[in-house]
Amino acid sequence: MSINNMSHQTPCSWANLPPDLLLCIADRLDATTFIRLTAVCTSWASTIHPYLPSFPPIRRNQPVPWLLCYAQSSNTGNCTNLTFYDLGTAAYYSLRIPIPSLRGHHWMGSYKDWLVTLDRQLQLHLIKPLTGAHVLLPFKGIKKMHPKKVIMCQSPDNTNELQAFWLTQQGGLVSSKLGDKSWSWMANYGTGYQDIAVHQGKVYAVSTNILFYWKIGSSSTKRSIFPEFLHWWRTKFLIECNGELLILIIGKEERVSLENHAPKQVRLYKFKRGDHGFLLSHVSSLGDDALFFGANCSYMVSSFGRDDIQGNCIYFTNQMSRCFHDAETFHPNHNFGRFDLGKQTYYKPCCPQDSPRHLLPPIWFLPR
Amino acid sequence: MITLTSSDGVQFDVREAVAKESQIIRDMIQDDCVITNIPLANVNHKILSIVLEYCQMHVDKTEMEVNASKHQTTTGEGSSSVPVALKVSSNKNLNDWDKEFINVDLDTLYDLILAANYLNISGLLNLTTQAAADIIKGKTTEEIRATFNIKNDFTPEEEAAIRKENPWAFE
Repeated sequence: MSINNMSHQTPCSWANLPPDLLLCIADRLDATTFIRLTAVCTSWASTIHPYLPSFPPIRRNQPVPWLLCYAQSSNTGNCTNLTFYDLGTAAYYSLRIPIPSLRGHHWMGSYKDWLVTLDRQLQLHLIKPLTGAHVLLPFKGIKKMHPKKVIMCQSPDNTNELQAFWLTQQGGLVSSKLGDKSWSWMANYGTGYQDIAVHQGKVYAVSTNILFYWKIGSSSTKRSIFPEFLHWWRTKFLIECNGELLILIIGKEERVSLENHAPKQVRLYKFKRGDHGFLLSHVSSLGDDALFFGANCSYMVSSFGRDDIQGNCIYFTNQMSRCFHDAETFHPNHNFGRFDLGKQTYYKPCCPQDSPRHLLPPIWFLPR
Repeated sequence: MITLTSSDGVQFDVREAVAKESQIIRDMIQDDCVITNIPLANVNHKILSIVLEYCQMHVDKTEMEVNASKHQTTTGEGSSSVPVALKVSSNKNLNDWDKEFINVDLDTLYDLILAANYLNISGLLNLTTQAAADIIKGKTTEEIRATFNIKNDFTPEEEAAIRKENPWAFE
């Protein structure tokens, strides 16, 4: 910048802000506001337009989850760049969020269009990638109790209030509401929980052979014993999707590596209320729906009228394969795969091999 | 001492260290060490006085830190954590001061951005552009126009075309 080349000063006309300075401001904005700048006036449009982020089409009604693959601090350190993969266009995209440093954060999962991360002080953060919104969850986690899974839900008392449930590596369960000062422990019956879900105001937790459930805020726990044939399945995942509670069961006793073998045994059951606890009914087909099964949060999307995703399929992330593989067979580029429930066939990952480095686990989230 | 003259002819006598917060003045002084009077054709006295207040504060703070750490090394007393703590607290103070300092009206902010860019004061440019970004953040297109008093000079067709590219961002 030379001392002589400054244009004549017009008295405060933001529309005439020199392009490099407008960009300097715009670089500090989230993607949504950045895009809005193009519609302010013609002069801003001509400056900002060439720098618009490229995006796969965003459908607010029926979004297809994006796979968050990588998070990296920007060169200036003011922002974080997120790299995600879009199935529809089969391409990677970069998204800048105006949050300075997320170094050392552990990416836990998602809650709808929010991402959930945990920092080194065990503080949970919620981040909305498209708007850059950033919320801190109350207080810090419990020492030596790293979470295996964090799920978010609306509080039953107040739909504007978020509540978090935290399943620890040891299988314990803690919860907290936004605004609370600390976490509180929840019922544990000596059998470490394998997975948790929240469904219609109730918390559900599975252990090897028992399903525990209770109303949020209540201390009286009910339990339902799984039918015997399920006891020996290695891994049980609870999924809350489209108002239904499902249980996904993978592998029986054998260890399966998704890289080398199709998981031969993938079963999906739906919970149905019976007179004595719950009944499980086998789901043989998802119809037009595709299930995006991911870390902490799963999404069901209809494939009707679209060719980018396939119905009656379960899309896995690495989270899934981590459950099976041994350290030797671990393949870092293995992002996600698709299991066709009808054909009972596993398809190799859809991501190209020259993909950027990946977060573990990659996370599905809903762009909207 | 160096004399800076604003575009409307007001002279400011400042210490060399304060003037040197501006990269462009630093380069000029380095090129020719006899310069003592620098005319600044693009900054009026009102904005220049605000800019110099910023430079003065940042130079003072830096010098205070240097002195404090020198004092620490010469006396050789106490634990090494003291200067670090001092530095942290003074950084915090400076950030608070910056925050208060940048709480100005939009006309002034605009002029400060141009002046920070013209004088090449990176700290002030960061501070001012961030302040502008904070004002814009989360606003709709209409709110941005209203806030910054910008006239919508698109034809309806042009504007519709732009919004159509990323309709979700305008919902």
